[in-house]
Amino acid sequence: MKKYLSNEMLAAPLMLIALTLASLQMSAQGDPPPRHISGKILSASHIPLSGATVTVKGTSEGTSTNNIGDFSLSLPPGKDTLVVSHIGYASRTISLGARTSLSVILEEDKGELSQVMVIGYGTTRKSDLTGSVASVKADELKATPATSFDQALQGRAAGVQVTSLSGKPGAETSIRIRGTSSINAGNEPLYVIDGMLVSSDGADLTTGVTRGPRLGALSSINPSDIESIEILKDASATAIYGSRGANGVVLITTKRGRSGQGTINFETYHGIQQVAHPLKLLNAAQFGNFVNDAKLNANQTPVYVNPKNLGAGTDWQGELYRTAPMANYQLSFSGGDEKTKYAISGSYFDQDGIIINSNFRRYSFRVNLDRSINKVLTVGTNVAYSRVSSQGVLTNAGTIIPGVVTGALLFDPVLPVYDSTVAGGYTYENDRGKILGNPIAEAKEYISNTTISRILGNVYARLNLSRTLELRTSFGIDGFNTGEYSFGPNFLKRTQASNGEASLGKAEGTTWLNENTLTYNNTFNKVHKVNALLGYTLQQFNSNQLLALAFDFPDNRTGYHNISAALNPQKPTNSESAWSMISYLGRLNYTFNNKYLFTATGRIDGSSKFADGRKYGFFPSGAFAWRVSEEPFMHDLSSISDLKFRVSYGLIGNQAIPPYQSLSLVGPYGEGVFNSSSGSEVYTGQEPLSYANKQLKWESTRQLDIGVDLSLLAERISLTADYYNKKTSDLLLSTPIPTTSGFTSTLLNVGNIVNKGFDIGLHTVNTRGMIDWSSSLNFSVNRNTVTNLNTDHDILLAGGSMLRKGQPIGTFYGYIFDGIFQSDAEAAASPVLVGQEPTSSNPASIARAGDRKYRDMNKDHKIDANDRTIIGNAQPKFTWGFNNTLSYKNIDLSFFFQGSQGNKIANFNNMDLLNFTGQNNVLAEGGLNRWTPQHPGNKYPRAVSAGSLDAGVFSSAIVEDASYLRLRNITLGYSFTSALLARAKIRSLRLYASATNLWTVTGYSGYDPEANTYGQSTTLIGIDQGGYPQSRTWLIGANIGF
Amino acid sequence: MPANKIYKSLSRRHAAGTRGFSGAWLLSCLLLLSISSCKKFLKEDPKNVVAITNYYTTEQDAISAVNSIYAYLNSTSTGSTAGVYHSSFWITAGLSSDEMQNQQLAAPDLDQLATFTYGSQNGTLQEIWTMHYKAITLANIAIGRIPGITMNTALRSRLVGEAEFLRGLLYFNLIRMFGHIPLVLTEDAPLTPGVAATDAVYDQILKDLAAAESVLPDSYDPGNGRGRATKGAAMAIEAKVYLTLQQWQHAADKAKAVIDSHQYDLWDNFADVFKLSSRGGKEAIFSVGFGDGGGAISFWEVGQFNVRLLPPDLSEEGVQNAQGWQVPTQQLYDSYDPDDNRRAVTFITEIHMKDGSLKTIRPYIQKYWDSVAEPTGNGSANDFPVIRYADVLLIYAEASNELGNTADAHTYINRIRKRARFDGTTYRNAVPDYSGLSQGDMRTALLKERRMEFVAEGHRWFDLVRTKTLETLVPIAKPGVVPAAKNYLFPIPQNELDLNKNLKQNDY
Repeated sequence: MKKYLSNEMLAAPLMLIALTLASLQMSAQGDPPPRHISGKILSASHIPLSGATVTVKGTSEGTSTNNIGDFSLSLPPGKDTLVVSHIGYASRTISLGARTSLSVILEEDKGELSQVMVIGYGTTRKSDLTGSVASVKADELKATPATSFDQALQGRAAGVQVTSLSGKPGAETSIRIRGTSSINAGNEPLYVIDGMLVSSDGADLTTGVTRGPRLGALSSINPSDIESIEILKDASATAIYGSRGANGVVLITTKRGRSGQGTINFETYHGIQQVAHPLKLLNAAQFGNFVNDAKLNANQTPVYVNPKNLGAGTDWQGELYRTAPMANYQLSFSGGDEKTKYAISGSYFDQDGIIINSNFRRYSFRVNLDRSINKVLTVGTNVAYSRVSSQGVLTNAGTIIPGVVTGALLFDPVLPVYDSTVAGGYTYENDRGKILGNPIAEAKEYISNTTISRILGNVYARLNLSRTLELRTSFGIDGFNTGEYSFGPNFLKRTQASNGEASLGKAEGTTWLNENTLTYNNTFNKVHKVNALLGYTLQQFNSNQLLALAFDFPDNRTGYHNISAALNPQKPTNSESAWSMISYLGRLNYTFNNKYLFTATGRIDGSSKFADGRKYGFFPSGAFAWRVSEEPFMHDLSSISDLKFRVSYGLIGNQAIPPYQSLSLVGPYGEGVFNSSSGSEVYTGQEPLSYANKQLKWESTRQLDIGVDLSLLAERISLTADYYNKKTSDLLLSTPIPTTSGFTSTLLNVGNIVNKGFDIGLHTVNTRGMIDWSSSLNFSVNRNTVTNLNTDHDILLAGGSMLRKGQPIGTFYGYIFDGIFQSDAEAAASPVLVGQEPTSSNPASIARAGDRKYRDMNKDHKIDANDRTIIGNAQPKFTWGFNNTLSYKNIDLSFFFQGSQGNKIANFNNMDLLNFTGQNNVLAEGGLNRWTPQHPGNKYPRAVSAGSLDAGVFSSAIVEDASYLRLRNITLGYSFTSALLARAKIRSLRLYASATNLWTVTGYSGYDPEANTYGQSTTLIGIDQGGYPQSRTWLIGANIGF
Repeated sequence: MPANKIYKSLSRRHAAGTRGFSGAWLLSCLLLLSISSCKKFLKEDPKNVVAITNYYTTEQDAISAVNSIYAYLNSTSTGSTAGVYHSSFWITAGLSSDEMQNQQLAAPDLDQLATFTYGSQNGTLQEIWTMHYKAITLANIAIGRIPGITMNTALRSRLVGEAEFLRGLLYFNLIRMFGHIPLVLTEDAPLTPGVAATDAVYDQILKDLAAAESVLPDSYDPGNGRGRATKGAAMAIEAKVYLTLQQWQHAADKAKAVIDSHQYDLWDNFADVFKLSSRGGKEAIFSVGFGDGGGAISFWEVGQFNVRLLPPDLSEEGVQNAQGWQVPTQQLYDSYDPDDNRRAVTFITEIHMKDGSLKTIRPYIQKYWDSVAEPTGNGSANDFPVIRYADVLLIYAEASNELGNTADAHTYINRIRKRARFDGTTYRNAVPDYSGLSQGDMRTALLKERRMEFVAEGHRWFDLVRTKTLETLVPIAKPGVVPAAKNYLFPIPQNELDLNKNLKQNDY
């Protein structure tokens, strides 16, 4: 036996195939046993446990159980005690006596420390972790009804910042794990579903035809199928994913069957959603008065003879928003026997959006199956199919005219919604100067449908080559097919120029992934525990897109269904994209005496996206943990059940850039004429369209993590705290280059970003017994700094944002709003915007009492671009989540608070809503308290309809504190006792009611402090411009088990 | 088409589109059998765009590659519409001399050029730098890659010759303007090249032009490449390079070779030089074409001569979009003999009002405006003359004068003066032939003749620098504006200095 082991150890570093053959051969050898013991290991519910470890006490010898829980073992002379253990179960020591066969039942270990956590390419006990991993379980995810699981992650894990980008059903979220570490490459984490590295970039799934925010790639995953989510944060945990680990990794495990009696579960909920916080605007009478005042102040004729008679007018928000239903139905079957385990589920989710004419529907099916073919071989599959169909409306800034939310806020409240005298039957446009289309017409009549079909599945085979060696190979597919269909009839303001427009887009894509891993697991002399992993993977992504556009539809009736009806068809376009990766990975865990834990991880990734000679990158990490609580000197401190210090350091990469960046693509660009007496001869040229950076390589992040895990009072209090420092270098940054290259910019590996901070997670069991009450709190602090940009100049971005060395990403740059001029004399004597001077050529523009003051930063007595300064940033000082669950007899209650502190938001809606030209409706608070000689103030300017130069000035007047505290969810449930249900053959029944986004404390004046109009953009964050607002949701639900 | 045939053709296309699934190489990579298979697996091979690795393989590719260089001499259709000879180049040469004043509002870059107060941040200079190197990059690609293309060998050498001509011409502009420049000659040059020695740059310019001279044809037929670089163009630029280097004999020889080739001649009437019908005509040695080819290409490609130079008052005559941004100095206008035909052709000083009266205005430049062919002005289809035959005659005269051959100098300057006397019907008594000028007086006469002849053709700053007269002549036309020694070179654009530490600023 000894020889067998050492041989295997020697073989370990060799190549996979060779090793496999070698160990197969080895396992066929071995000396005949002096005494043969066989047995079966079962769980408390008599389910056979495979992979349980059986060792002979006092020796290093042992075995593990096969797929049906059986083991056999030779017992050295003089030994008769076995130790049986299995991850997730309490170990047992059994004295054999004279028995030669036995059956052992292991009780589940409910403690936190023995909790099994999924890590990349394996699992481990929490107590054995050396890295920083946060875990979120299904019941936590389920508490918040969400279209997509990523939304439900919000506030659940320390170091994980989730931002809902839009209230549109199914819209993308943005997830930042330990800050923003890249500028031009992606910042979203890697998602791994049951081992499949999936496409999570919404851009892959769209051709851009859909109106409004795009659907999230993960919205096609049914959240009800998820068993647990693990979030890998530090280098030790993520380095196994190499070049894709820099932004963290989210591992999703779906529900699998267990041996035993089959169960049937039916879950459903029904709810309603409403806009959480409609804005208070001027009604028609107030607006009439306001417009008249603006006209008078510009020496123009008032518009409305008697504004009071206008009454309330049209509540455009009321017309746009609705109380929208949502419902979810999920039926699942699971169970299995010794050899086969299954979990089958089907689900239907139906959500109407709170904006008319928007919705999201999803059908999904899943089959997870595992089958033991024989003692050595197990095969299985996970297959999920989903079909999403969604109607969208155009929100956000919009082109031609703004989106419907902005439209509803700004549209003239004096006007009615409908006007039967014009084509289409809607009031056509805002009549007060600001270019707006009727938002109700735009929402109802501009059709924008999206369908996504997605299949996600893999098959695997696992070979137990010996007691200690396992070979696993899998092949997975992630395939999607998107159809996007939009039509704007010819009577809308938006289609004024096109005279009706249709666009059809199709996108399809496939990722396939082959993974081969070899795992070695053994313990020597009881104290040396070794777990080693070697792997080799291949992945390839292919996608293609087709887009057809047509303008000028004289007849609206056939819509996008007949694009050939258009009189002005446009050129169709198509595109393709592909990338591939080859990876070699390895990990070695070594534990000495359960006290000292070492992990070394490495991955070599080869990616097609980089230049020849730069395609491969190596990403190593190392970690050490010391379980102080295992030391003899700690044994007396019985209140401390676990104390572990961890430290890890490693290098991880980022390659989230589009393909072909290192290639120089040639295309037509230049053209011209040679002229002569006989006329003009046209010539066209072809040239490289970009600078090919032949040095393009990986963006890399070095991360240090120092953490502590502490568990007190028999695990009633457990704390995990981590400090981290992430330094990203070789940023994939679009950078200005010397024009001697023929180009002005290219993607270079320059620049550095540092993210550092703390993640703290605290779990407490407050009371036990009559009332079970437990709490969990998480708290995250991140500080982001751009430390090098390859230029000393500021990089000014859209939306008042900028990049500057020494400042965080998301820094706002603009003027400081300094109150209101109280007299004409003060305005005349003060520095004012260029054009507002007393000598201005346009007398209407001259600054007067009631106009906004801006600070003259450089003291040159005029306000111009040089007076801009940093006026806030969108990075929070800290974010937190606080969850409580209580149960009393059959009643359970949970409430979950969540918040963000210290982040600023640029409220671009208020550029108009606090712009008092009378061209659009404004906030009631500002409009009613506008500066007048009778009612002076220092916050809001006067109304003036002509000449104002301060419209569009990006200043601190519209940068607001977006800190918030939110009761994200509260749920009350009742579980019926089985006695009552037995007659109805119902195993379990729970009814519950829940409310989401019920209560929010914030100083933010817009709909929602989480708004983020620019989606997953890395550099434009904290900008609110007409986004789809978040809803407040009430629902009731039932979970029934048969 | 039978259904199964359609299916076959579709599936074949499908197989071609989804690379990776087919092919034994993938299997061998899957099984870790072959490193070269894996290398192929990671190779990027986009099908919807042509990568540089697949381009430059056919005759058409070679033609397109050279066309792309020409396309940066006129206008471009994105961002700033400026190509090399679009406007900045010849405006700078005019403003930074005694030729032009700036009247364009909110254009501080141009104000600075006109008053010699520019610094390294000047955007116009940056644009000149950028566009020259853009075109040079494309020339480098053409010179580097076309020789490897299997194609008609005569055409191949001609195309390379065209690219060499253009590269030589562009470096000649750059070295004279900026003095200390990188000499980038290959596609894979480092991103931050160092400064080349001035001699090395001139050697390369002469080498490129000589190579071009040896392979380029004497001419092209109208409509069939007329406008491309010719042997004559290469020799004419060579003559000018030698003149700049004060290698008088070489300058005289090259100019004389152009003259003796009998490919070129002067139009009898100066006014004909700028008619649209004269484009590509006998006096044009190398010109840059503008215009949209009758709507065939993007309207950005039209010339800016009318918009930029014609007086706004011309709207009275139905001319559109005349901005009059750059105007001649009054002293330039005043220094003409009133009967010099070139004054009337070059400038406009009167507007025909709708009521039949005449309105007198300050002089504006109108020579590029063919008011018969393009009555409403605005976008111009005229050519920009990079070098025309009159220039070659004056180069020959100047080189001869410096060699002591004042007889030839008199002969050739008088050919120019003779035409200046001709008003279309008769030879006036103005602009008489020179005779018996000393070598020194001839120098002065030649410089003045060039000034009269080439208004707004992008020569004046170069002529003043070449003759070291910038400091003395500018203050006469622009009282109070006194150039300094440093103004004999322009500053290297700051953006380039910031991005390339290997560059060094001139005396700024």
